[in-house]
Amino acid sequence: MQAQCIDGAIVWLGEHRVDGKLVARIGRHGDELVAEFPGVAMLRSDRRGSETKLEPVPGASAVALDKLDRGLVSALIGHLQGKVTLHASAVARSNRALAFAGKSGAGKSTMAAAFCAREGNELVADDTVSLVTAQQDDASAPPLAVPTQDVVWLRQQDSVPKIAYAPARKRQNEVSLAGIVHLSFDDQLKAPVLRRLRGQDAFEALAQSILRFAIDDAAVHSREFDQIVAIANGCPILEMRRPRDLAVLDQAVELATLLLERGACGV
Amino acid sequence: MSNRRALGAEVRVRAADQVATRQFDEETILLDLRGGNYFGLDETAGAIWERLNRGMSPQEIADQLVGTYEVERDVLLQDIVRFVDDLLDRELVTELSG
Repeated sequence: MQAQCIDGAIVWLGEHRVDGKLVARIGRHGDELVAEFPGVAMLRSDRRGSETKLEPVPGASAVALDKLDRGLVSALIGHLQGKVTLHASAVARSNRALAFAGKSGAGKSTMAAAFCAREGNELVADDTVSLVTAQQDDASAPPLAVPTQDVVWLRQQDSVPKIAYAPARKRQNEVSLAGIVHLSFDDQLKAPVLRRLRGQDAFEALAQSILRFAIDDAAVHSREFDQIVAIANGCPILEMRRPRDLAVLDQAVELATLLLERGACGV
Repeated sequence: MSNRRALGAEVRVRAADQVATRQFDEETILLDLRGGNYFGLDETAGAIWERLNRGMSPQEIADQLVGTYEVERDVLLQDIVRFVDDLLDRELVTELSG
């Protein structure tokens, strides 16, 4: 993921690719931080996230720009302002939420859509989940997930454009996070398996899911360290491995529902 | 491959300035603030890390911990020296002079 090269005056520090295609890269231009989303926009910001500018690429689709602005752009600026945003989707039921994290293509949006298709379940966020961490005087309090999006963006087979799915119920206010589930595929399995991650495994899974803009700033790393500890102390971090087979999606949703209803103690 | 000289059992080290430490789930997590890389130490490694930062040498730590683990003192000492060597290679600790 890390890349360092000089392109004009911009020093590129990191990039994100999906199926080999560059979808985002971040870097520095003097004191300014920049993020490029090829074909859509360029974001520029000062180091505190107080002066920001989103420059659309001529001809960029309004839908793509709106999605970017509500999601990644908001996450990156939030990072500079001291907030934590996960690359994840989130759903809720009975005032408790679950976040589905994982690499691109791990099925975060698919799980959220399938979960929200069941009666009473709500969508909290897709692609980016903004968290409010516990205060220091209540270190074991769960983090809160902040609703951000109204739709889930689903990829149809191998097609590049995603389609928007609007669940019947959307969460309107912050909700306690009962767990962060790191999704991955394992075709050796016949059914989904849920496992609680501990120690460094939990820490790494969480650290990998955080969206960052400032990646070369020791003070930001230090602040983030405390935030990750606060999140991991406040809610369980789990791993769900499952076969890449939509026929078992219902079972995966069932496991997630049980996790929300009973907690992670039995996992 | 490191070019450093081989370490003795009496070397003393301390956490490097750019390393932050937190406890989580009975593990010690180290953060290298330069690159934002995390390192997890299990309970045993965490106990050794804590003693290293109190200024104890591998030899002194082996003497103190030998009764805690089912392992011969020489084997434990070798493991501690190797651990310190690894920490130095990753620049997570600095050697104390004198």
